[in-house]
Amino acid sequence: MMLQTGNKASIKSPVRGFSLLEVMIAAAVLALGATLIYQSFFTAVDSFNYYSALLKITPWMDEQIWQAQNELSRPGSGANLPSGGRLEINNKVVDWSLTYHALDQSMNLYQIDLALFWPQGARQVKLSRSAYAIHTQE
Amino acid sequence: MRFIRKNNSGFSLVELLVVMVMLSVISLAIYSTFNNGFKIWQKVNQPLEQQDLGIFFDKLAQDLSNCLHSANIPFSGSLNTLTIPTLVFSPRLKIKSLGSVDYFYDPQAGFVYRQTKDFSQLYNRQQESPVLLLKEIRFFRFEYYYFDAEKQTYLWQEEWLSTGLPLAVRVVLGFNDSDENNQFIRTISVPIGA
Repeated sequence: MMLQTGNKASIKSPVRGFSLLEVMIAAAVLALGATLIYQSFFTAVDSFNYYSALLKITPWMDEQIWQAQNELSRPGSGANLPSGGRLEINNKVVDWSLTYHALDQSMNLYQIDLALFWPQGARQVKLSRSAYAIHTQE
Repeated sequence: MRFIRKNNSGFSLVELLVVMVMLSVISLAIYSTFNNGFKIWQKVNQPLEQQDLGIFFDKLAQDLSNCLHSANIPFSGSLNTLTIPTLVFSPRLKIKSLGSVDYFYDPQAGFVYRQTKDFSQLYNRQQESPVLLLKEIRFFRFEYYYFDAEKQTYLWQEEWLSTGLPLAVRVVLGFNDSDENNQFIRTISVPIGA
């Protein structure tokens, strides 16, 4: 009788498993951790895609600004500047618009504004760049 | 006797099934997290050719911005090569001094190199080993912008042999893995070009 009671008491406590509540809390913590890790993956991929597109778009923007400056600063041009369009970079459709206006009365100094828009994940990216052009009379 | 039998009783089928399902769900979640993480890590760490391209354009723009008239170092250019009289770092004097910068494209290897020579290196016909700037280039060409006084128009040409400086230099290039339409164009003005 004595032996039975003593053994029962010593074995009962280590064999006791987890309660349902403990398991649920552990699963919830695990799910939260996994969600946060996944979120960081999405952020990493989004940043990578954005900068990959930016690396391709930057030389294109520089070139477009040069073209506009050239058209406006060299005599006998300025009329055939494209006002906008669409290009495809990294399987993304990028819309762009180019505007210019004279800053003085004598039409010598111009401001050029170039703006690009493209969808990046859930958001819409807008990138803009401005430059001046001086019309030189030769 | 009662105690031994009770202790030996294993899991019930329902308990076992629940544990197995839970274990599989949790291990699947952990596995997919690691797997996706590894794939994303690989993708984000792959080298992008445009990184080198930005550095190449910046170097070229800096050399052309510092370009100057020099009787001894002529500005010369063809489709695949370009020599600019400009400021270079002199290894002997340890300062920036007059010299020349060569850019050249190797069509067989698809490489673009930059080589600097300061004035003493030019005089002694010494040269440092060229620096590789771009790899995997499928096509590459320079174009030169100038004002044609006879025709009174601005024109592009594919080589520069005259003594003056062009108004601008244009680079057109494409990488091996990109498609035909995906080409990079960059035009850089020469400030004292005429």
